[in-house]
Amino acid sequence: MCLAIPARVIEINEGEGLVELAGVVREVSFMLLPDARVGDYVLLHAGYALQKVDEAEAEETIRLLAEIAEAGRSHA
Amino acid sequence: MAVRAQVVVRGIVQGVGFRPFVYRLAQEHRLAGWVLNSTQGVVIEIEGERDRIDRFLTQLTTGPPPQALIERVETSFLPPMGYSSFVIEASREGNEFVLISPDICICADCLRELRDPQDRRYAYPFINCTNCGPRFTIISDIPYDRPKTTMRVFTMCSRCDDEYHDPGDRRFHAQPNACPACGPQVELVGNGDRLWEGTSGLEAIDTARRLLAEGAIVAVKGLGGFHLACDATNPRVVATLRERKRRIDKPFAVMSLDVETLGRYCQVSEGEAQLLEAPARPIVLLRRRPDSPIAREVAPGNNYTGVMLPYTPLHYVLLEGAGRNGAEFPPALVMTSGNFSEEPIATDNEEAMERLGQLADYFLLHNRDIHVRCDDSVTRLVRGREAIVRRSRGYAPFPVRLNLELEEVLACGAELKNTFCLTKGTYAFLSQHIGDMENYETYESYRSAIEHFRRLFRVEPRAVAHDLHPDYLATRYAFELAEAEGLRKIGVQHHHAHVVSCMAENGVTDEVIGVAFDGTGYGADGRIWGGEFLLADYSRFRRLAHFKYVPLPGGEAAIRRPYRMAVSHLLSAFGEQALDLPLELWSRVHPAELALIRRMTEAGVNCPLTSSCGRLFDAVSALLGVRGVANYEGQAAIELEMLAAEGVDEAYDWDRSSAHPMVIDPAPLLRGVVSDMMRGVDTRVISAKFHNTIAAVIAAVSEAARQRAEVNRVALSGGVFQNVYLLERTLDELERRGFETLTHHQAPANDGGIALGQAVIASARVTRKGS
Repeated sequence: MCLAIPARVIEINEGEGLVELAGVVREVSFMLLPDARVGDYVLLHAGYALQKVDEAEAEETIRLLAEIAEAGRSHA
Repeated sequence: MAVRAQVVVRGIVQGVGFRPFVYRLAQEHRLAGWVLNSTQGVVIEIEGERDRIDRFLTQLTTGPPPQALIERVETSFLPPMGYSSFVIEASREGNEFVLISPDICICADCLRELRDPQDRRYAYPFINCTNCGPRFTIISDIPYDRPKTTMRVFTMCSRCDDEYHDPGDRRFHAQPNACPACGPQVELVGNGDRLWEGTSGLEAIDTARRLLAEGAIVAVKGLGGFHLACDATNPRVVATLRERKRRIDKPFAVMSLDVETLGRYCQVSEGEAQLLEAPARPIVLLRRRPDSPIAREVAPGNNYTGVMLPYTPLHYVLLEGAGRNGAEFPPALVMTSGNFSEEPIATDNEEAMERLGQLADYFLLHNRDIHVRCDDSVTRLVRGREAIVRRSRGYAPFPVRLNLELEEVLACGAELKNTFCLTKGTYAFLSQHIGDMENYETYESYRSAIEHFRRLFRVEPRAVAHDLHPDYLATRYAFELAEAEGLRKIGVQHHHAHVVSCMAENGVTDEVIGVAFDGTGYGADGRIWGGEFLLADYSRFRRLAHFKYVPLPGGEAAIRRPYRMAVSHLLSAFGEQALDLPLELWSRVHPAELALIRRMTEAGVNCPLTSSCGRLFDAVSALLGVRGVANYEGQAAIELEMLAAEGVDEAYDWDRSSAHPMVIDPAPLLRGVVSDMMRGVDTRVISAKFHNTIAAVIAAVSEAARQRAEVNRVALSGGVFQNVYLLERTLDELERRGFETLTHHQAPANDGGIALGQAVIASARVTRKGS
């Protein structure tokens, strides 16, 4: 199972759209997740949004990932 | 004061030792008169004191021979004739009919004699008595008497003849009675230019045992045809058999000596042991143990092994060696029908030598002819009840008993796993398994079996029922017969027949919600149906809901290549964008074929539309990389079921339209599957979620139907319901919602049960029109 980093949906237009992930904006397909809405957090794989995640959970995951990244830097 | 009673006993009362039983009973009660077999059953006249006659009549119904099945006893009292003794009279012919016993496995008494070195039939492979032995497969006509069986050519020796005429003997009037001195013999012959070992008797069987243990393939003549036998624990010989038989993956059945032996490689419940040991001796599908010594090649990709116990004395001598052969012998033999894939099982010695020459190394033959071809039956236990898969030897020609009087009709059945059905009174005579009607040999076998049944059961059909598919050989037969005999033709929609088959065997006549899920059936709109919800009774149906139509790219080709269905379903769900999905499927379909599929589906050329649920299983199986090319019918779906993880409760979404009939759209389901695949979810979990979704669809659509039609009964039929995971899950879902459920027990859920439904529908239509 791939590491799931939640991305925030910033735009959707006919099955295509944009998400923001750690400050990077990229294009994804919403074909497999047609009920996603702007503002949702979603999991991505190979350019497809696959699953919605709870907002609080997503923010917690992002915070944890940031902490891990921080810890990694301090040990380097 | 003496009175005379005339008694007619109907049911399975011939070939089961009934006349000898009556004789002994009459002697015991000191009554005079006679007994005989007639075409209406056993007819008895007894004369004597009234109280003795009453005791006789009580015992007649309470203590009949073990294999007898009394359906009805009619008694009338008449003035005495002055009989002085009790005799068994010659059989009487007429235009009535009797039930004919299926073949019965060797009984405990005969088995004991077979194993007793002091007995004159020690290790004699044709030992039998009135309680056991061949019946249906050797009978050419009724009443059941030796001259009307293939035993007519063997003249009994004086000792056998004495037994046959001794009312106190177990073999009194046992029609196939025989012994080593006067009866059939076995011989073992080599094949073609291989080593020729002409030999006979026990030596033949001992040699066959040695050859089997050494890894040979031996064709063994059985009751209803030939088996091809080999060591089931030897992967090499099983692979060779597959190659020669041109049967790539379809499971083989195995035979083991007893429940204890097969319990070492399969899980056997008490109920399953009973099924295995029943007189019908069917093949029972049992869960394979992880450490099973049976070669994987016996049933590739399958968690089940089809197992049977020996049923003829020949099988016992072959498996036990009559205690004479101490050599190591395999714990299980493959015993698969002696034919090339898709052809009928061979029955005749010369025919077998010719047709099986390239398949077997040796032939273990005997000279008792097989009159009726009859494959082994296949069954299983689901939720503690029998759910038959193939109804044949040991079951046919015993009828399915219905709770209403039927018109006399012939139902011709469908194409695959064909059976036909003749009706008379409350009986539906569902034939033995005929097979897939795709070649001349099977068609010929079908025609002769129909003629045989009509003669045996004295049925003069008023109408002939057929599938709506114009190209089925069975449909063409129906048309020809109707033309030749001036009969009314009645076309029956395939899934209506499925649902009514399930209703009829459960004795239900009121309207039901019928769920008919299978691979293929010709629809009333000319499209290929297979994911149907019908509101049905015996004469009519209304289509309530169905799966969304998708193209079947290349027709038959899409059935053999499930990946085509995956492509079709993906295109239907996602449009052209599907092709961009990062799926392994795309690397498994040749680009030229993919282009062809796209062109065909776009233009609708050679692309019939189907609502088949079976094809949706195929699509998901191929999509997941489980099975992209099917080597036997249903393989992709079966292998998908085998993977389904236990303990998964999740399901995928699905859509439904508000139209009538309601259309079930699996697009959200496919979206869910693809999404799970991309997230790396375990295939076993995806399979379980997929199955759960289909069960959820059934429950939800049934719920909607219940609200509209106020019907609380749901009948589940069609080959898809041979899927045990799906069936159990569906029953749980339906019962939780308070539905009454009907499933198949006596007739197969697959197309082998179609003829029963056709017959009941046709009869209802004849009645309605006539009244």
